[in-house]
Amino acid sequence: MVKEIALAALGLLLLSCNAHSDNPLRVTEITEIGTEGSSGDFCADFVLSEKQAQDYFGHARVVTQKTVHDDYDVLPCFVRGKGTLGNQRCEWEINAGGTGHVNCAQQSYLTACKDCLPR
Amino acid sequence: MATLKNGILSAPHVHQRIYAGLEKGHLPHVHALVIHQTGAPTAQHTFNSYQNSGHGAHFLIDKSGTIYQTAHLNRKTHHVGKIKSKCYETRICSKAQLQAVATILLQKGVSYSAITKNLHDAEKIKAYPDRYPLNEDSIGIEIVGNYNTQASAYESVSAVQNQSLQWLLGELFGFFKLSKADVYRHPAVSYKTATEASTATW
Ligand SMILES: [Zn+2]
Repeated sequence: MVKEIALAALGLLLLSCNAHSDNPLRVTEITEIGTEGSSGDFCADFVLSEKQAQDYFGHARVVTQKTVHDDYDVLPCFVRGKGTLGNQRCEWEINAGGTGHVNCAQQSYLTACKDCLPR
Repeated sequence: MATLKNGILSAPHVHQRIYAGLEKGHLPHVHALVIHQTGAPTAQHTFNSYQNSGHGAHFLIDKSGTIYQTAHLNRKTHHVGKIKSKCYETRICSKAQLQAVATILLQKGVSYSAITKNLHDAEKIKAYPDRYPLNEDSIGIEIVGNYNTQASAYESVSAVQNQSLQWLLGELFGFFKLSKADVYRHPAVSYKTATEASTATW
């Protein structure tokens, strides 16, 4: 039990270190700009450059799903891409509502920011 | 046999755990029921958040199927947020309604959060059931279910949770004269993660 708590604490520590804004995800590539369902026109303006995606991850904070649920819109518009976190390869997605998620080889986490996107 | 008195639903398997911080004033009418999932692994995680946050619902269904009442049914809670356009989402808008919604959704030069707020403001003045439910006329039911960040999905609602949900809905249908048509998954109503409550059945 103590060992499990220690491992959980270590995991949280690693997550908070790796995903800290001092050492954010490094965006290397945009792979998809898309929409869920038939919301094409609504999402037409949601386009991000690699630099804009990098700026988002540089400023966004790591959040829980409850924060995403309570405080953010999850819109049908998204940009997806690839990146690195330390020596891990990652895939990421940014939603037009201001949330994001990062899936790396050894960890995954959610992000959010109210004013980190161009629109 | 359940009873409803002063906003409290009394039944042998409904446990009272009211959080005053969730209650946001009088709830005069109940027109609809909105089903949520917590995004946390245990009921205790959500109870802890209820101590500090103003966001929550009227009921919580634990992993074991145990039902907790967390707010009085004659008090409003903040569980819905900004609503989508019902006629647009269900494709039954008149020509004029469609034009009005499209004007808001496709407005250029404003933020997406301003667009969803403008849409909510235009919808909330409609009468139910021409619009989706609001905090002002609905009861919220949370089902404990974690969110898997790797799979980007909420976990499935279990059979015992669905059984409890169905019992609770049946009681609420009777007390508030509602039907299955008045039950909504949260992401149907608001811009939320699509898998929330997607495996709840009634
Ligand atoms: Zn919800």
